[in-house]
Amino acid sequence: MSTYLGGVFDDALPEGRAAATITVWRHGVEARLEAGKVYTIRSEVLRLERGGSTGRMLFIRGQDPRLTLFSEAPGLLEEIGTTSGLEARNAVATLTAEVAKTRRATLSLWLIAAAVLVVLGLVTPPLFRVAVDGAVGQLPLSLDVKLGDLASSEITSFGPAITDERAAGLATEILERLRPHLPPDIAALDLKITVIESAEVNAFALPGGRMAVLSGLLKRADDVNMVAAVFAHELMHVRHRHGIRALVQSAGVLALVSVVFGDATGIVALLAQGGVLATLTHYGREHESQADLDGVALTAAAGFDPAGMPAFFRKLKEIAPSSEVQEALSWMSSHPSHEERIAAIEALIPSLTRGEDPPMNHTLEAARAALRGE
Amino acid sequence: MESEILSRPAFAHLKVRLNPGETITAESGAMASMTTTTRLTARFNGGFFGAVLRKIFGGESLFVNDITCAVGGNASAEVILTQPTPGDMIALTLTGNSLFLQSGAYVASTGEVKLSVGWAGFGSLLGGEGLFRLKVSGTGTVWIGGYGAITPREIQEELIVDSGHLIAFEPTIKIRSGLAGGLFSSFFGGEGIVMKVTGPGRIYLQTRNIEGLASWTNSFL
Repeated sequence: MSTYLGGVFDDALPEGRAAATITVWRHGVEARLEAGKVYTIRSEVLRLERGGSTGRMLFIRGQDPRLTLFSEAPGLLEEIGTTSGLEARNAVATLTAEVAKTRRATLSLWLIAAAVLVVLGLVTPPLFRVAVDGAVGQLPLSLDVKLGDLASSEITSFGPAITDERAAGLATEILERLRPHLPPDIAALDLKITVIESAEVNAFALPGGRMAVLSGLLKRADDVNMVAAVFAHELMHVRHRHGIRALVQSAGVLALVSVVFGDATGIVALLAQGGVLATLTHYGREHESQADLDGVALTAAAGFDPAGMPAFFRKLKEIAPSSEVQEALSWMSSHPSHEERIAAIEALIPSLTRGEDPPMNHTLEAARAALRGE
Repeated sequence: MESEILSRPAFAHLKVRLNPGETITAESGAMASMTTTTRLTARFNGGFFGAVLRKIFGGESLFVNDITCAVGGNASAEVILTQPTPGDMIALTLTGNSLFLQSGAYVASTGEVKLSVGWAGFGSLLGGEGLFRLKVSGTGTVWIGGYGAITPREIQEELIVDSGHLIAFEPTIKIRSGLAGGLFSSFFGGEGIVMKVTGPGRIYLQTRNIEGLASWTNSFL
């Protein structure tokens, strides 16, 4: 025979309850208060219930509605089942069955909730993509230009603009060779490129077509095909409006709602918060792959050697360990599937028809001499 | 030990006079003043693991302080304990029974009261009350504080309590989280998730909700 710590609810007690020691006898369950008062609930009228904060509290009731014994002590229910009379054993069996049923129901609920979460996890991304595509399609191209203008002042944070005709002219000439092969609405944009003095090997395009190439890229590239490959890749971000897409994606539902209602103030606020340039030039893997493949097709159409792109990517990997490059190549190095991207580009190259390759008015050698201050 | 709650109900604080060797345990940061005849020792709140769990999941303090009257003879020590929010404080007597306290309610207890951590469940987390809660048990006095007045209430059937108002309850009380009304009314009516409290047992409610104050203040910032 064991004793269990618990308590008694009795309206007659000063506080309406008191701590008690509970003992199980054959004739019933007994609760003894410290003050000596004893309560007994006989086996034949005993009713049991589980509940309380933890769900493990056992409530023991009889015929008197004002009296309830309770205890959370483990083993009490089992002892009632083995020690007390037949009626009490039936009560224990009923409660045990009820508890098992509740447990099964709870488990089923958790399983259903887990299944719903899994389904939501699978369904949400594609639905969200469709919604983003729809929202971006609703936005006029003029918004891209406006957002690009907002970010353009940040371009010079990389370094001063280089105005030497040999370098700036080369960048513009490559851009102008690519322009006619872009879709008409993109080709009609005010595409402009600035050469920026910086050791970083990088180039980027803002929505609306304002571009920048850092002088480190011109210094490190082997030939104009490599430079053209990077420009074409960046132009494809403009063409597919990846900047604004990234923005709508990061703004999520809120942006979608504001786009539907034609209010872009939320988007502008988001830009102001996150840093304009960083938000507009942070693309996902999918967007990078699209820019690679369409970009390499653009270089070929414009008469550049499409092999320039995979060659440049390999070159990047080779020079990446140096710290100034690592920082710059976030658009390349952040993707672990470097080799996959090169393979995908090279698989596409044989199917491309290379356009006419007229002689260039500017050369990379002359641009480099200008950058060296010669 | 003699104790008295002063300046009730708005700015209640607890004044305790300790006889030589007597100890009171207080929430970290609750001490407002004490005589030089005391000795203060910090220890983990509900054991090391319990304290860490409560710190991480309940946002509670890692330590509690034991304040002891460190002199002998006829001397005594006096300590004033307060709570961070304006509001009332009450003393509850434990006689072998236990109580669950919500985050922030605990102010102090006498040395024989045991502090431990109880699992509150995911429902409690949904209701904004955290995964763990403090359990006080044993024999002695525990002082709890609330924001606003504190009202005890006997529960027989079910009562709906907005989250943030329940500060303490007996272990016989069952708590479930639920919506205040329909999905629309619950969120647009400003009540959101509420607690459905079922008896038998006693609960202690605070008349104000600190989150309510925070969001009201926020509207002016």
